[in-house]
Amino acid sequence: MELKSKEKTMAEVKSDGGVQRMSLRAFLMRYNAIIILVILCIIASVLSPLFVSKTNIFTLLRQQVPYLIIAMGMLMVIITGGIDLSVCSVAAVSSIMVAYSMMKWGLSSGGWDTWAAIAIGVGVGALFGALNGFLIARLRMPAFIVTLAMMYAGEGIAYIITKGNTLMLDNKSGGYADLVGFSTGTTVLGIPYAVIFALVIVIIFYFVMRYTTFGRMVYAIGSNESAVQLAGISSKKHLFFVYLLSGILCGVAGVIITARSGNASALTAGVDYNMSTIAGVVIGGASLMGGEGTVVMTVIGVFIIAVIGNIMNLINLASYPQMVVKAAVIILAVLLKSLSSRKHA
Amino acid sequence: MAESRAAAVESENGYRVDMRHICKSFEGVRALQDVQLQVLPGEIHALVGENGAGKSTLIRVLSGVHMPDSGEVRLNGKTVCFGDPKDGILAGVSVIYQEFALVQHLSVAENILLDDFRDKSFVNWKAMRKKAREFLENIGFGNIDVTARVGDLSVAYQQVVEICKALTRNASVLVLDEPTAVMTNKEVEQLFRLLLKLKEQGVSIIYVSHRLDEIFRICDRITVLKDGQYVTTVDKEAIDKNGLVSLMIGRDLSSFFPPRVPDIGEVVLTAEHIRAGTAVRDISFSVREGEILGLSGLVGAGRTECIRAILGIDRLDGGTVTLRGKRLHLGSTKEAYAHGIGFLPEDRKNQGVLLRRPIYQNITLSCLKTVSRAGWVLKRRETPVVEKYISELVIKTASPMNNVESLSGGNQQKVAIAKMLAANSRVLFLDEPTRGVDVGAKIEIFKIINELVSRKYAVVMVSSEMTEIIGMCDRAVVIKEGRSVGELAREELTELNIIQYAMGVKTNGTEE
Repeated sequence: MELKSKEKTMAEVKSDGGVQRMSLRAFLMRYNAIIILVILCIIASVLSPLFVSKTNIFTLLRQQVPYLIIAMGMLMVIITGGIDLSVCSVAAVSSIMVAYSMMKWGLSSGGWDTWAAIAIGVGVGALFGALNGFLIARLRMPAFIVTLAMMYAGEGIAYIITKGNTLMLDNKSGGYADLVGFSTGTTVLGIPYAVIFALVIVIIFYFVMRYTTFGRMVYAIGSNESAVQLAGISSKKHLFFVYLLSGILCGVAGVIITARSGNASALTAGVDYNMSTIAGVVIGGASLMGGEGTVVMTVIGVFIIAVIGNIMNLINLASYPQMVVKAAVIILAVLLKSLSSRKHA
Repeated sequence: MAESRAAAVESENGYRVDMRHICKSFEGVRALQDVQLQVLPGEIHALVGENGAGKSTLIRVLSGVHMPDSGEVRLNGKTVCFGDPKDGILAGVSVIYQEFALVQHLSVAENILLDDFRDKSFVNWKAMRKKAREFLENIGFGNIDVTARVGDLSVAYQQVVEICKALTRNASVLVLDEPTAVMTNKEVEQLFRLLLKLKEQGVSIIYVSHRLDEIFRICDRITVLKDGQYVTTVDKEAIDKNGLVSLMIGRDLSSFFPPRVPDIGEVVLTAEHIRAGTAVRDISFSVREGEILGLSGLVGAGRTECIRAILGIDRLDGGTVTLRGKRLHLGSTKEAYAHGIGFLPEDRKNQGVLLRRPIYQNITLSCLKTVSRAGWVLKRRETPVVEKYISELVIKTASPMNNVESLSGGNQQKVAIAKMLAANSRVLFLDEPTRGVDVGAKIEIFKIINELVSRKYAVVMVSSEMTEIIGMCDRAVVIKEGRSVGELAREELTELNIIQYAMGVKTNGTEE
């Protein structure tokens, strides 16, 4: 303690420039993702004037809605020191169940029917989340294996329900109008409803993680679970709830996915929701060991990956090379982080 | 000076191990000061001393885990300087620690010849098993199945395998650290048979143990350490148990324990005939309001395990816990806290605090419900709690927003204490409350504990430092091998009394 205060006075004695340089360095360490995102945006606007167009930016934002929602759950899971690999499959099954309940169970006439279909989709996500949470928090199984298995099972279930077909909503039904209307609708400034919805969820999670006892416990569990337990707190309950929430958020994302195009298919399980949200959370500064990570930086991380994809689309790079480039950028970003933390270790 | 010249002459006297003037400090704390140890070939040499006397550090210096700050280590007359345990092993020094370095999932043969894997790409199973069998037969344990999984063997046989592994490395010096701590009598016999056989073969054995019976049975000479200093080396024949015990203790009771006038009330918590796992067999004690009860005993006697079982962290296999006349069945620390029972774990960094979280979040961790409403943490309720404990316990920090990591050990411990107190606990279990903190912080922690009991808190304190038990406690229960073997009132609290109970020289007031 004394040592620390001594250091501080030394820093104060130094010239202003010295102190500033230190804090700039700390800033870079902590928020390097923001700088990466800014640089990427500059590169993008140089490469293609289309990047800064209103259409492109809103398209980009709208595409990221399910990613952002799933990333909030992923962030919580990763802060506890766990992982949720099942998000893509859970989102797929939820998305399919929304379409399926509208088509096969007659929930297609709009209004309350639509709400019921949404509830079914989100409920399915909650079921998966609860199962993950039970196995991981209660039975103490490793999150990696549990969610890996759940990813596999979820994809299978998605194909079983759809029999491999795409479920197309009747575009004359009320349900279709509700969902697609929500997805394509915009407010006065031309901002899509879906984007505002995602923003609301992000803001809610910002407050949950910062100001609630639950958020406090999520960080505490990831920081040192045995200390939390010995402090007289049931970490199991909180851990269960974290996985449950992740499942619910995947369910919400599933609804959005169906609403975007008015159809649902098992192919959603193969979309990069896993990869992109985990990478986004980690690029945003979270540690896979748990205890670290913030909502704002996760949003930045998700957008870093999104902008990379967007740049490559604008310069007409084919989708398979895109995957390789994305992966390379992710590795680079995490490498940067591990190098900078090693220097200070 | 004269002494070091004498040393130069003596080192030619045929000592296999010759350590002289060894000094070692850790972050300013003296662990060893001018310590010596000489062991002859074919000798079983006991190394004894209280907890924290420096036995383990000395062994680690010998084996190359620690570099001495000064002093000389000679092996067979040659000065050596190990920077790494591997160097020690190559020079023939093998240490067998309490927690074995065996690969539990592999077979006996694989473990014995583990080193062979380093330079071979393929395994010749037949040859390996044959070689392992020969090694075991050589030391009289041909009955151990070389294909058995090591994890399935008894502790004694695991030890034999470990020793056998050391012998494949041509060990001429074998160090055993509390080898019999978890063995049955029969297993101890097997081990002794092996040790005597090795002694015949000329191996030097350094035997670290608290068990005086065993020391007098198989050791030739005994070196005594105290507070990191060398006391003496004696022949077994020249001393008896009581003489040895008095060599190990007898330092001045430090005057730094703050004075306190005990004001003791009713019995608050009673634990009777506590049984849990293999470590806790029959422990009973009770603590009263305004009282500090010490749980004393050697490291590994089962004190921590007993507390954990009482609090419901580990399974309680038997016995009763009563709180203010009502029987308690605690399933977790959550329930313990709900009954106003607080716990300060012994391992501060891994169990006591959240190192990488801010101080204020640590302090209110156990009482978040009381500073929040509908799940929302209320700054206006949280801040006063945090400020109260920072000022009451004098936690020295620039800001409560700093991570606990940034604090000194003593201040980290105060944060852990604050966390426990903030949950409104009235019965406190403190497990090694001053471990790893400097002397100044120790005194502050003692003052905090004194202040708490003066406010009618009940405190149960586990400490391996006898001076602490004697200086702080109103009463102490001594625990030996999972059993409470004696209770000492304040005026009976002396090192001699405690150590006699702890080492089994005395039981329930009768001398052997």
